[in-house]
Amino acid sequence: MTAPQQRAALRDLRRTRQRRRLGDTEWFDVAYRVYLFALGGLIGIVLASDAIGGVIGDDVTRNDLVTRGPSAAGLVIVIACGLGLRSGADGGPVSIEVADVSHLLLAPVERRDVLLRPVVQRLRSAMFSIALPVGVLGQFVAREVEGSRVAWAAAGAAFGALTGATFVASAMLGHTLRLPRWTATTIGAALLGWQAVAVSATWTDSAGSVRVGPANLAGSIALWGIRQRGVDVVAVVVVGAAVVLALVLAGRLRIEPLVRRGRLVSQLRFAATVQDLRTVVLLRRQLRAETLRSTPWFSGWFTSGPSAAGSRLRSIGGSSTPMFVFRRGLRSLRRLPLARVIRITTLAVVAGVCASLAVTASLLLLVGLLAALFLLGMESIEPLSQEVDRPDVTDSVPIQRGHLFTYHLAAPAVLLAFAGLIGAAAATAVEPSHAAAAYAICIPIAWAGALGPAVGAVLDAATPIAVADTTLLGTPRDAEVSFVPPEFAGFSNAFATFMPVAISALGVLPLLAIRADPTAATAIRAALGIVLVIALALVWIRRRDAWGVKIRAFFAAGREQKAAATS
Amino acid sequence: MSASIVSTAGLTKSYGEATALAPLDIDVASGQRITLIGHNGSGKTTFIRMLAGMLEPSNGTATIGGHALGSIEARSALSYLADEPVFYDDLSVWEHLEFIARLHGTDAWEQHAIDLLDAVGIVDRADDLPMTFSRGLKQKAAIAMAFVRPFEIMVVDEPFVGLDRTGRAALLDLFRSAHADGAALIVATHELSSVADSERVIALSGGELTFDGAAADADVHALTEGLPPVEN
Repeated sequence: MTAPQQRAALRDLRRTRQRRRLGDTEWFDVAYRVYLFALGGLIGIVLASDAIGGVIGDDVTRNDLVTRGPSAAGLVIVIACGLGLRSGADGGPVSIEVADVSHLLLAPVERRDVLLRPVVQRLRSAMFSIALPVGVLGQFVAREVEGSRVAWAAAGAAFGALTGATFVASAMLGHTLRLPRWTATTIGAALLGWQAVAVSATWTDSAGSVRVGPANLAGSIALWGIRQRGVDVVAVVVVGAAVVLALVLAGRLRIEPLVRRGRLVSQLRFAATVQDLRTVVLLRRQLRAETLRSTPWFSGWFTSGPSAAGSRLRSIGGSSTPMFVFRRGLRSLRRLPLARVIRITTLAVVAGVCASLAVTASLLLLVGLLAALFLLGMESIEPLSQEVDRPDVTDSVPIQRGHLFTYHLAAPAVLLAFAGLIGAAAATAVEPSHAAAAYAICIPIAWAGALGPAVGAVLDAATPIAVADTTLLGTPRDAEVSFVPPEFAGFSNAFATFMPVAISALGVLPLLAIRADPTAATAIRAALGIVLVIALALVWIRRRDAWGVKIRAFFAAGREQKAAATS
Repeated sequence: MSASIVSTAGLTKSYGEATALAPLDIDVASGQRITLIGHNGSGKTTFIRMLAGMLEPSNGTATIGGHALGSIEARSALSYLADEPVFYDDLSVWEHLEFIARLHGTDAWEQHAIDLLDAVGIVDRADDLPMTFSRGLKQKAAIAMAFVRPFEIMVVDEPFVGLDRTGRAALLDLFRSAHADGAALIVATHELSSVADSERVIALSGGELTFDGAAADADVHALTEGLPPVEN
């Protein structure tokens, strides 16, 4: 039990820091951002709700929703539970400042008194951040089925909040009960498998199969816009009990992962603040304690080190620079941790399923496809990211960096080709008649998805002085000062964030064509179009510096002519 | 012999297949002053951080004053001076001292805090944010924070890094003073001059104990040069 005077010290410490934070806040700036966000969000929702049709698929009846909806929505809850258990086994879901670990958790104060607040904050943010978009999705659904917009939005928000609570409670229980990773994975996989069987049974109307999944009641809450069942409250009670148990056990959070996560989370927050998605992905991997394997998955062709002399790949590739860089990429890939291999495989399967269902059912699944393709790209361009993040090393080799960057895309292309084939297999499993189109287009789509992250990474690379020592307007780059007004700075930040996603969206465009004409011929034509765009992007990456030099020279010549004319 | 303030039995730390600290059995008597030496990667920091409660043992047990690692009683008894000072970025040195002292149940802390700041030479920087300090000044602030609270044992990891001559002298004086007051000290360092003040030397190499004995018997240069361990 914490003594009253120590409890008072803890309270005073937090109040002092909170007062200081609030004192440093630019309230006008915050109000302006909230206003912009709310206005933009509202306009976006109104426009999108008019523009988007077929959210839940064509020809879906009330009966379909009621019979199939609970198990399908329950999948989301089960996935949240599985991810939460994994997160807990990896030391999540809570992160606190390292200073709190050093000064509060090492002080003779009950750890629960220290940790309860960050746990509640995590719970609150998870519930809100999922409830908001699912609530918005709910009011989209309301346009296509019976039930008011308010009812569907409220049902969506309630289901989202329940999903967030499930994730945090599972993670807390996984952490505080010290579940080993394999146990968390096994429990998550078992729940997912059970729920998947229930979904399959209700979807195919197969008699004799298990139609009740572990999260059917929770999934049913998503349908409260159309019907409300008292028994569904049992799901809320179960999740609520898990949350209460998690809060009771908050003091058992392990200090070692809190230290590790505390160090990374401040960097992660900064990266998220400046919308540096690559760094966010990298730090999230570190948060999960993912390290490359010390023992490669396979050796032989790809053997490195002194024993590699005369290895088969070396003899095949020779000593040319592109092959050397390609080998370096392959060596990186063969050390991918199991968790990342599973993640890449899962993303590929999700992409395949979303693509297939986007053709036959709801167009909204294109969003899922885009997210999966983009994340696949982020996962695979590691060799290029490493190069971009070490400009001193890039500048020290006698190779034009644009060429080097393109060479670094070769190994990811191999990985993405495999991922594409997995996605095609998943799409075929969902809809066997899509097989030809799926296999025809899977690899170009996977490459196109990675194009956004690749272009984003290349744009992140600092321009060396040797390439350009001035801005376009002739100002020395080391004297460059930004006088961009905040509104435009915000716009350029948003552009830098969403531009890679927009480029990756190329990967989903062929699905629109295939939706209209689901044949292999359409797929091949779309694939050729994508390959052409990818080729253009590669040319841009290779020639970007040279073009930049020419453009700068053009501007410099213009300035000289103007100066000569005025003198 | 005084009662043990630290007692470990088979204390081990592993990361996968790599062993950072092989099973370690030691007892530290109350008021004993120990220097912990070893190469980089020898396991000194791992051992110190496990005692402080920042790392969880993979195996074995350890007690602080008879209480399990991480318990409130153990945290109350042990002060930890880390190799990398950690501060809140929005609190001044004085506020750090205030909250640390109060969190450890100390009411009359002001004069002690002033004395400590004076001893390490940063009394005029008390109202500044330590996050803005140089490495040496940060270390001085961290030293004041480690000493402002009561403790029965202090574990210290590389305390001399970044300190100027005045800071080193002040720190050694604080160690002597704490020792005179009956506190035990375990100081992990490459600064071999501090061995002279110790009663006992513990040497680690590759995570294993290579020497544990009286400071007078320890050939510290041999132990830190990687020569064969000296028999106790």
